[in-house]
This record gives sequence, C-alpha cells and structure tokens, in this order.
Amino acid sequence: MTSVAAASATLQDTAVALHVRSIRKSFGNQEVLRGIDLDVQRGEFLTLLGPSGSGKTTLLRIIAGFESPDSGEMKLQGRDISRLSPAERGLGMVFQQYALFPHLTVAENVGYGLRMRRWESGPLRARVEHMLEIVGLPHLAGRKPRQLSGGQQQRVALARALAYEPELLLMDEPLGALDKNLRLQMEEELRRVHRELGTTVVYVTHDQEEALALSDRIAVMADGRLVGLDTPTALYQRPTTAFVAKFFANANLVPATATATAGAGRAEITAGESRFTVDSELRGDVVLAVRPRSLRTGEQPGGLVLGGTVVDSLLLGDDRQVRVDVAGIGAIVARIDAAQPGEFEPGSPLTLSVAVRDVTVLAP
Amino acid sequence: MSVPTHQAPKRAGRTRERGTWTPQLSRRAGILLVTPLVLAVLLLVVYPILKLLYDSLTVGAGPGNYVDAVSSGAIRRAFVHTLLTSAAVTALSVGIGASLAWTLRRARHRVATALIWAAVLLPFWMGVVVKNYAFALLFAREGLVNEVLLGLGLVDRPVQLLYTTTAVIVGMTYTMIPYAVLALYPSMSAVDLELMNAADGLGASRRRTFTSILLPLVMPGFIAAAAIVFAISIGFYVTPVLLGGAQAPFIATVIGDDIFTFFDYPRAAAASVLLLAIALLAIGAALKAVGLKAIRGGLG
Amino acid sequence: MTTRVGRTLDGIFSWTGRLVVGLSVAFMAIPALFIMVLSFSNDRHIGFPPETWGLDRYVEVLTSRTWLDPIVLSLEIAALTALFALILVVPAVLGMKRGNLPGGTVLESAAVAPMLFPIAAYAVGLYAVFAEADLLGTFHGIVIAHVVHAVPMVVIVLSTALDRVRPELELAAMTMGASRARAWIGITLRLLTPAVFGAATLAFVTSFDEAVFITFLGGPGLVTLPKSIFDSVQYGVDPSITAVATILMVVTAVLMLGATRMRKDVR
Repeated sequence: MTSVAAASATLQDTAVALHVRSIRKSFGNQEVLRGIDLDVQRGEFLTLLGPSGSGKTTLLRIIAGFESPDSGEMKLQGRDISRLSPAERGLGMVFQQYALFPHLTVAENVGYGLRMRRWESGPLRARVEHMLEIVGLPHLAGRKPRQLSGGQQQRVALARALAYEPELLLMDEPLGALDKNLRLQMEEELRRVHRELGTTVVYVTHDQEEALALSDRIAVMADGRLVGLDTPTALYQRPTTAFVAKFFANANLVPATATATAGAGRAEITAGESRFTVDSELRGDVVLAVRPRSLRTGEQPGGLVLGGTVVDSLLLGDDRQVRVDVAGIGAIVARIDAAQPGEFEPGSPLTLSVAVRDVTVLAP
Repeated sequence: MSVPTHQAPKRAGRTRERGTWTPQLSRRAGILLVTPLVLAVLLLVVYPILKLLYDSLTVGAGPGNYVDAVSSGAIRRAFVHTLLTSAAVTALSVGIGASLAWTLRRARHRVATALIWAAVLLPFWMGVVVKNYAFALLFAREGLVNEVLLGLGLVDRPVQLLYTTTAVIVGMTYTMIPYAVLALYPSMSAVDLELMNAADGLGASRRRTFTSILLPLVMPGFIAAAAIVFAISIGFYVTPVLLGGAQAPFIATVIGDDIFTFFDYPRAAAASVLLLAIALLAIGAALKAVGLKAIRGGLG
Repeated sequence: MTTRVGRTLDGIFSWTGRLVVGLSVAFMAIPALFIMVLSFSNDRHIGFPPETWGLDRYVEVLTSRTWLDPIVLSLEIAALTALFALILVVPAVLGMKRGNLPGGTVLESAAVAPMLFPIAAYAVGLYAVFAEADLLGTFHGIVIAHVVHAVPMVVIVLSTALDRVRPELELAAMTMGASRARAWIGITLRLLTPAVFGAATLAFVTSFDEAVFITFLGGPGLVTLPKSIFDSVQYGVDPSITAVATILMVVTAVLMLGATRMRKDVR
C-alpha cells in the first residue's frame, strides 16, 4: 500500500518540474502576491499572463531568486530552492533588455554559465558553437553585443540561458523591446527552440497574442492572484472568470440574469430583450462573455440579440471592428468580415447577434 | 535533449552553508562597505568644520573673535573685495560658459565640437599654478598683452596689468569657465532643439525664442552654475596672490597671513567660518531654488 | 517694421553670439599655447616671440634636483592619493547603490560637499585638526588632505558610472552560476574599470596640481611641484617652469582623454 503511494508520489514529482505553493509577497503596505499555487509540468511552456501590476514579474523574480517571498515554498524537481541563491538554483533567465555583458563577445556571453561550471575549453567551445547554431547566429560569435540588432541580442540571450541545460528557463517579457514583425519572427524561433530542446519554460508577458502563440498552458494573473490556468484554447473558448474573458479574449461582458429552469444544470438567461437557455449552475446576476469575433450583423433566431447605434468603425484589413452603443448595456465591440455589406457610419443603427453556443455565462 | 553532452554539467555555486542567501545585500555587508568613507567624512569633513566653528567661539577672545575679525579694516576690505570680485567672476564665467555650452549643444561639426571641448577643458589640464603663471607672463610689463596693445596703437606706453583686480578677475574666470560649462551643459542638453525650431517656424524671433522658451528651461542650470562658481571663487588663494599682488588681498590670503605671519589662529578661524557661511548661504539659496538634483547635476 | 527690426536684432544676436564664442575659445587656448611655445625657447630670459629655439628648458627640468625632487614628491603623493581615494570610495559606492542602505544620498552629499567649500576656509579647518593630530608638515598629513580633496570627484565619477551599470547584469551572472562576489568582480567592477581609471586619474591630477592645502598644511619641509612653481613665480621667474608646465599639461590631457576614451569603450 505505502509503496504504491510512494511510487505514485515519485511519479507525480518527476512530472512536475516546478512546484510553487502559497507564495506571498508585499512591498511595504502593498500586497503584490496573495498566495500563488502553481505546478509547472516538465517540458511545458507555461506563460504568466497579466496586466502590469498583476504580480507576474514579481513571481518570476521570486522563482529566479531575485526577491525572497514573505511566505510559501518552491521546489524545483522536488528540491527545495526557496532559500538558495540564484546560482544554486541552476535556472536560466532571459531578460527584457537582454542583459548581455557588454564587455564580452557573443561567444563569451554564451559560454559564461559554462565557465561558471568549470567546463573545459574544448567542450565549452563546442557547446557554444552548437547553441549559436540553434539560434542561427554562428557567424556572429566574435561580435560584441552592441554591434548586434535587438533581435540578435535576444537570440544570444536565449542561447546563453540555455547553454548549460538549466532545468527551468525563465523569460521576462523577452520580446517586449522588439518591434511587431521581429516579435512574430522571434515567437516562431522560440517555439522551434522549445520543440528542439524540450526545456521547461516559465514565460512572462502582458501580451495575450504572444501568450496564445507560444504557450502550452497559460496562467492568467490579476491583482496578485492566479485567476485562470488552462490551455490557450480552453481559456479562449471557455473562460472561467469575467476577468479572463475580458483580458485574454477581449470579450464583451453583457450583464444578464440567470433563473432556474427545467432540467438539471440548465439556466434561463435574460439579457435585455433576449431570452435563451444554456448549461449553467449560476443563478441571479451573471455576465455573458461574448468574443468580438462571434458577433454577426442581423438577428439570429434563439441567440443573444444586441441592437444599438454605431459609435465607431475601423477597417482592419480582412476585418472590420465596429463599436456599437447598446442601450442599457454599454459599448459592444464586434469584429465582422470587412466584405460584409452594411451601414457602419457612426450614428447608423445596427443589430448584432451571437449564437447561444458562443455565449459563456460567468459569475460577475 | 538533442544537445551533445561532452561533460556532465556540474551544479554551480559555492558549497557554502545553504539557507543563508538573501537577494538583497545584507545590511551588515552594506554597512561594512560604506564604513571607511563614512569614517573619513566624519573625521575629515564634519569634524574639521565643527572644530573650526567651536574654536572660533572658544579660543582667543571667544565670540569676540568675530568682533575682532569684523572690526579689522583689513579683513573687512578683504571680504568686500573677495565678494565683489567673485560676483564679477561668477557673472563672466556663467555668461561665457553659457555661450560655450550652448554652442557645444548645437554644434553638429564633430571637429569643431572636439576643439571647443578641448578649449573648455584646457584650464583643467593646465593646473592651478601653471595657468596663473601663464597669465603672469602675459600680463607682465613687457608681456604679450602689452606688446599687442602697443602694436595696435591702443596705448602709447605699457600699462600696469599685473597685480590689478582685472588680472585677478581674468585669471579666476579662466579657471571657473570649465566649471560653468560643465554645470550648464546638462540642462542645455535637456533643451529640445525641435521645440526651438518649432518656435522659429511659428515666426518667433530668435530673441523671443531665447527669452520665452530657452531661458525658463535652462534657468535651474544657470542658478546651479552660479552658486557653484561663486562658492568656489570666494575661497581662491593662488590666483589673487600671483595676479593680484599685495594691494588688494583676498580673504584667503588674509586668513593665511593671520595663521602664518601673525599667529592669530582665533581670528583666522572666525574669518574662515564667515567665509564658509557665505558659501553655504549661496549653495543653500540655490538648493532651495532649484533642488539637490540640479546642483548635483551641475557637478558633473 | 517690427519684423525688420526683429530680423536685424536676430542678426546682431547671432553674430555677437559667434564672436563671443570665438573670443572665448581663443581666450581659453592662448595661455596654454603661449606656455607651450615659450617652453621650446632657449632664450635666457622669457620673451615673446622667442629668439632662439631648443630643448634647453626640458633638459634643465629633467636634470636639476630643484625640479626633480618636487616632481618625485608630487608623484608619490598623487599616486597614494588616487589609491586611497579609490579604496575609500569604490566599496562605498557599491554599498550605497547596491546595499539598499538608508541615508545613501546623505552620505553622497556629505562626501561631495567639500568640493563646494571655499578651499581656504576648509584648509584652516584641516589645519586645526592636523595641529591636534600632529600631522602638520608631514607627508601623511598631505596625503590625507589630498585624499579628502579628491574624494568628491571620485564619488561623482563612480556613482554616475555605477548608475549606468544595470543591476540586471549582476542578476544574469548570478543565475548563470556566479556568486554575488564573482558577479560584482567579473561584471560590475569590470564594467566600472574605465570609470575607476578615470576617477583615479582625476584624483591623481587633483593632488598633483594642489597648491592651497600644501601651503596651509605642508610646512616648509614639503615642497611639491605646484608649491615649488608657486614659490618661484612669487619670488622671481625661472624660465624652466614653462617646460614643467608643458609636461604637466600634456600628461594630464593624455591621462584625462585616455580615461574618457576607456569609458566610451565599454558602453
């Protein structure tokens, strides 16, 4: 019996790379982290997503050992790291501003962690070359960081942090300083490197598109708490809180009322003129999360119908983004096909609707 | 992992006792690091000033040292002379320094900029005594300045230049211009040239642009520069001795004479405290007007 | 009307501005050039322009004990001054900026303050303290005074430089396996090296050039180079001063420019 329990515990331990429990942190009177629990699976790319001030960077700095938590525990591969120095934790870290050593060449930067681990020069050189090949910069080994572009610098930083095969790679908004095109390119690059090396990654960003593109799972943070933790698809299509819906999927939040109806786990929803039944245990005041993409012009039978006046219309290539003021509800943003005919001048009346299956009922 | 492992990666970090790491440097280590400087400042900055103050009130005639100092005609004259000369030096250095700093700010030609910087920094490189020596030679009766004046027919016989207040002002201004430029340059760098061009484009005259846009932006720099130059100027010793001679001594010379010739340390202490008070007053007023950051920025 | 007047004024303004700058640059350059030219004269008395040219004055300076002794003494004092100023300030700046100590600004201000003291008054204060501690007229006393004199500039240079070294670099080094000491020495201090050289140069030059403290505190026995020049200018002019002055200028300029260049190198 006991041996079975022990074996399953070990199994579980090996699957979890980073184990974080009840981490709290205050700066002065300000509570920045209010009890964070998080398990990062081995080989997983996990993103901490949240607006600035949500505590995501503080959490990352605590994992890295740059801040000490007021309470809580942290284990890396089952080893308690909460009181170890960053060096002893054996992590890799990529900073937003690259933090390359300006006085060292690219190769010396990449080899720094290996030198700290007393690698001999032969293997060290081979590993540095290999890492630079992985990030596609073998020809720049002799350059100084200031001779590189931002994207190149960040790739060197990535190679540097991965060179010594850390058990966990931390990345703090690594693409934040790059322009849009470069960012997309780097996202691909990151995905490829993660695929090739299989390193466990904890990645911090405030950009939900970046999180969507990169992550195996996303932990949404708000106000020092973890408010959602799931795969990007699940979070996007079935958000569990209004905050996640709003922040992550830019969903419109429509106030509504849920009342009991026939059938277990069903609820009748009333929102303005619309009335329909959905699967939901919630009763009383609720909000309906509606993604801009799922709205259509015109009425659809049985769905949620929102009629109002166009406030603003913006053409975004294939899409048109329309902002409609709906009486009693407020501004609703819809993304519709740009080719769709219709009157979108400010002031013109417009009816939007969404199918019931695209409506998520959430606690307000 | 596809990375070839030639050597098993060792875990880094020293094998010291675990559980002692704190992200912030421990307060004890921090205090240990600053202690030498703190001791030096206490012993060699705070203590001498306090001792000077204490001595000036207790040794010799006690508080009467001040009466003694103020009632001495030589000291009073020296104070007036020092303050007036320093005021003139301040005005000149800040004025010239401002035009140089502004030229440096606007200049686009690299060689010209380098040359102007070199000219500005020359007094720093020359050394205190050497530059005064140079002026002593230039201002001598048969010196270059008189030769030029005679050659141009501006005077018909050599004029007395050395050992005049003018010589002292010129020599001191020469020394203080670099301080003024360095104090003014940061605030001028902060001026947005686009803003100036915008004002030009809006049809404001250059003079209007200067007074209504540029001046308010650089005023803190000016005040800091003036305070710094003035406070340093009133303590000058070498230039007044070498270029001003014995006729109109600076307060520093009088203090030196009190100590080494008249052995009147109490009166020297009182005069020193007064001198220090004036400097602190000037710096204090500037601090109040423009804040610590501007003054600190003015020091480089 | 107004525009024409305005434009004329603008023109005057612009031309007077250029004239002032031109004259100022000439004013700054002439004394130095004047001394340099005179130093290559072989005339027995100083006169401009020189009638004979040569290196007599340099030979004189480098062979006579009257100049060599003060030069050596000044070099010794200046070297020790630079060394001790660094020993005091480098750890202190690291402690102030990285140690999270309260009162860092106060300490920095107090350390920089002597720069703004009228030097004569400060010299009297030190005179009283040195008299008490029996340091008047001693080599140690002068070194101490020069260190105090140099510390403000060293603090300014190093604290400005350390502000430019991002703490993230230390953190990066630490995640990669460096201890804090190793990160400080290998990264922070390494990046600070040019500034340390610059600061040392400034301290060295400040001491080498110092003439007031040595007069108030040095007594008759200690004759540094500036004191020696000062005395000889006061009591008659020795032409070889021009050579000393030129050497001084060139060496200082080279040191200072070198320090500036190194600082640019790292950025």
